[in-house]
Amino acid sequence: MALNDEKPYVVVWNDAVDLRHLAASIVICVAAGLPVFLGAKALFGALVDTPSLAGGYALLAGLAACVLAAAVCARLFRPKRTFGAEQAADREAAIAELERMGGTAEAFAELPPRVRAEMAELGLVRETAQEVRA
Amino acid sequence: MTPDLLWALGMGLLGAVVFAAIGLVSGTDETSTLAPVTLLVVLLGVPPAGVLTFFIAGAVSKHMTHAIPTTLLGIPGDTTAVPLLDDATALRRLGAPHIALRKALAGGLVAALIAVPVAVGVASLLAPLAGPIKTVAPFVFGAAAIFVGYFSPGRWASVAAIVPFALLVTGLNTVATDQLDKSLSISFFLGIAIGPLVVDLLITSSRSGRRTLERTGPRPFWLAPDGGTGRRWIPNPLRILDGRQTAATAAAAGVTSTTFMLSPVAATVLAGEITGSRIKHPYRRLTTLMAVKNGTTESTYLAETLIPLVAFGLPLSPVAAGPAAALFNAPPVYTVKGADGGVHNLHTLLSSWQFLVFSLLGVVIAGLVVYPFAMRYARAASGWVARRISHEALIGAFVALIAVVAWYEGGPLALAVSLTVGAVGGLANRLLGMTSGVQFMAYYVAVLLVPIVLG
Repeated sequence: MALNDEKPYVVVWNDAVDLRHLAASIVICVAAGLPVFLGAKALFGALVDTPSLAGGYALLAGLAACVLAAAVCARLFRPKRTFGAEQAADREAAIAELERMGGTAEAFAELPPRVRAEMAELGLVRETAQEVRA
Repeated sequence: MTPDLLWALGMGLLGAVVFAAIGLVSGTDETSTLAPVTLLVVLLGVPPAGVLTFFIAGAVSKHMTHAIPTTLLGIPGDTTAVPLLDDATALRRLGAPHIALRKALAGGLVAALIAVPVAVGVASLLAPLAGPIKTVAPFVFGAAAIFVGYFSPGRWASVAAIVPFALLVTGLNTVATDQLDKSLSISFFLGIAIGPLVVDLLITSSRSGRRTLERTGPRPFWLAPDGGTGRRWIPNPLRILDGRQTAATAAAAGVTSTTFMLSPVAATVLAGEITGSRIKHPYRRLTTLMAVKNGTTESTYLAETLIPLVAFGLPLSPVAAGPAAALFNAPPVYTVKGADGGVHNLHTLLSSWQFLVFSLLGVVIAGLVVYPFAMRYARAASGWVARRISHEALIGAFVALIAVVAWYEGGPLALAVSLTVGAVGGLANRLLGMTSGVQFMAYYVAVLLVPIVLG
């Protein structure tokens, strides 16, 4: 991950965030979750006879509010990630890499046919090696 | 169909779907997601069969989808995926990330199917020893806390920090008991689980701390192409793995599902070392390691949950004390130390047969729902999450969730307890390498051992 001192983002809980957006998200989610929970607790407390059941329903309502608020935040604040499709590993480069790791033609010839077929499908086999071993 | 079976089916399906989604979000920690959500399910009054199936289906699904960011994005899906990262990266360099993913998924499913019956069987063998073990349990917890601490990144620092951490818990609980006329546990539990997040948030709000934060531009991410094998997609794991890979995965799963004291990461590294040293060809070694390592994570996880649950009813393993803790202790529904001083949780509510059936049901549901989805739509799904779901929204949701659940247990005081434990625990995690697993053990030391020591 390239670091860039000029950009305003910081890494919190393993990903890049804008601190103002983060603060706003936390405020929005807590402000949605906690009052809904407390309101639901009062409401269900009056409606339901069993207190523990009322608490459970209130908890569920509070959590639904948290999730809903998070969905709103996801729409308000875009992810601080940039997307780029990685170039497909070049076949030649991949084969060279494999040989560097010890995957020589001789070692390849000792593999069972099933593994060799799997590698051939991936293009991890040099044509010449196949011919030599054929 | 009996109501139990209906609950199990419904909750298993819910767990599989919810955690398949969470697993796609790279970097989410096991404990901080699986623990609080399972706790919720327990508190909401779901019957035991539903709770168990929910947890098992959730854990298995999360391990399946967390393999997606690990193999395709090169970011560990969560802490237990870290040991897979190097091999996954090597396969990515060979242009075969989709093969890495398929081997990992297939290995995980095979291992899960083996681990459940083996673990329940081992637990049944250990169950006769439960009586004597329970009487010495408080001391076993002390010993286990030291053991888990020693094998954490912090080593001796973690072991040393157990005493102050346990005293902190005791002190806070005494205050809570004075004020609320009941002790707290969920709030401690949440505090430990979200400690790393609390610390990160504290640092961002500190003027001097903010300067120490890692600054970055937008986080770049790449999605590896999903080409290579074309459209021919067969979900049968036995056709994705070759014979030797199936055998190695099954052997590793069989052995590791008899143990319950080793942490999943430690077991995975160990199984990987043993398997990897025997395979010479790099392609074959890497693909086999994907299956074996992901399989071992799964089997260790399931064994660490099921063995203590079936045999003792006490959370005597790092997983049981961490992500699975709500299956053991979630007052007022489940307790390890009730009014009569006894255990009242899934251990007392379900029989061994029910454990076997509902756990297998959880694995099968995850296998039917998440496995084909992950095989087919892995690339599209992780791309969607990375592009659409901002990290800010995710953190906001978690903070609000903690606030609501802690308030539910004991109002503002409980929330303060959660934040205190989170701050101290998170700092101990960050600075001393005292993982949340060690902290959970220290919590049980505080609840079970400290009262005996203090008389």
